[in-house]
Amino acid sequence: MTNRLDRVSTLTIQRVTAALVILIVAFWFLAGIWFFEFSSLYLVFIIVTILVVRSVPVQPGVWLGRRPVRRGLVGVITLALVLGSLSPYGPNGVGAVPFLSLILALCFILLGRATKRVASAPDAMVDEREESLRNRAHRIAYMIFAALAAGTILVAYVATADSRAWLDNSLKFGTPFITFFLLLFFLPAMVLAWLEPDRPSSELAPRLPATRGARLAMSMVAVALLLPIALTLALPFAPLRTTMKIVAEPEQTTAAMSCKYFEARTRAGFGYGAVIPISAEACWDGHKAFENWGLNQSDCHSFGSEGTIGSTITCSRTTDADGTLHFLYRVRLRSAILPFVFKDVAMTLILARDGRVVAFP
Amino acid sequence: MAAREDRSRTSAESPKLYNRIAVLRAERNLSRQELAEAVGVNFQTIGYIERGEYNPSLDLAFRFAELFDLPIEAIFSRQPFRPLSEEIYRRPRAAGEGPNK
Repeated sequence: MTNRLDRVSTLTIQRVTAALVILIVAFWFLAGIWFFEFSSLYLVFIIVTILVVRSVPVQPGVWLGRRPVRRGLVGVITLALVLGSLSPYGPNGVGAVPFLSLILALCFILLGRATKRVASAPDAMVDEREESLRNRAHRIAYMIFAALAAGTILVAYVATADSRAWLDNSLKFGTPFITFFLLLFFLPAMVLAWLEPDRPSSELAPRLPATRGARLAMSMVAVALLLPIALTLALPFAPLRTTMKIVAEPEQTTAAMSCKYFEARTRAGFGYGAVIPISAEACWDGHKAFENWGLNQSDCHSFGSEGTIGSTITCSRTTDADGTLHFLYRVRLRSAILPFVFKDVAMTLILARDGRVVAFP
Repeated sequence: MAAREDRSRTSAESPKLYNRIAVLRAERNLSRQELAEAVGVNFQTIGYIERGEYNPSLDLAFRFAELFDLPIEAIFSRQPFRPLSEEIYRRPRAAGEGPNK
């Protein structure tokens, strides 16, 4: 009996939290975010930052201790989670998800500070009032979570064909499910921040001394905040990195015509940017050059988009009077964080009727 | 109305308990922080208890009683306490035994 109780007592909140963090990271990687190198590293950095910040003792202070501020934080978190659920996310890009992750991470850090992390504190760290408050917050959070999860699934399943498709897509790419995972973590703290009354000014805690851990935590928060902004501002100035190859296609070559395979990838931005590819086969017969495959409207796309949203400006394929093939794909990569920052990237293939490559890419 | 007030709920969802913590703390010249450390709670919890927004557990109530060297019923009550000055001065006068007489 004692052994069984010991085993139960090893299931502390921290261990359950750590297990859930691992589960979420694994889920994100399985969902395909491993493909987005910067976003993956940034996500790991945010998680490490949160862990470091959580290791530093906090007092809410005058500003964060105020109920309207705490409720405002809950509102911002709710909005970011809703936008995150609706944000495009998939093999072509993660859009604003990294930025929303940043907003959420900062809000959660502030929320933890505002509530003294009572919602996730172990028994030894809270007194009996905080313990009862924590338990009450968990009870209410459980009811809200159950209603949200069941309600979303039921409504989406029965409402319309579109909502059912949204549910299927959610299962495939996962942002709404990540939202629910995040709620699983943070709903008790959100409930607690919402419920706690304002403290009288006479009960505000004295400022804690700035320890080495506190300075490290603040530095990491600053890096987490500034890095995406710096990388976004670098987007227009970062040189385009292009790799390309042109390979003759002997299988397609006959006495009447010859073909070549063209492949190029242009990477724009550092961390936050996208890859714009061309992968096509073009041929010529002495009278004109023409596309065999890969130079159509459906081939105008970018991929690996991180922190940017790509929109096509031009996607055209023409053959001029002297038989030269022109293919032009121009895309505007606009920052998902600072929408006034953008970079235009053009991919070109000009192939003369005699097989001479005039321009590529 | 009085019944409704008596049945007013604290954040712990139990009937309100009245207490004399603030008075006893002032008498002994203790800050909330010092009192909190003495009974082993967060200093903000002392504020909640003083304002009647949180009812302490029996264990915590005993800790207050031991610290102030008073019976629990002298510190906590289901009914509002009369002011100490009234208890000390007016009650004996009403009984004809007051110190002013």
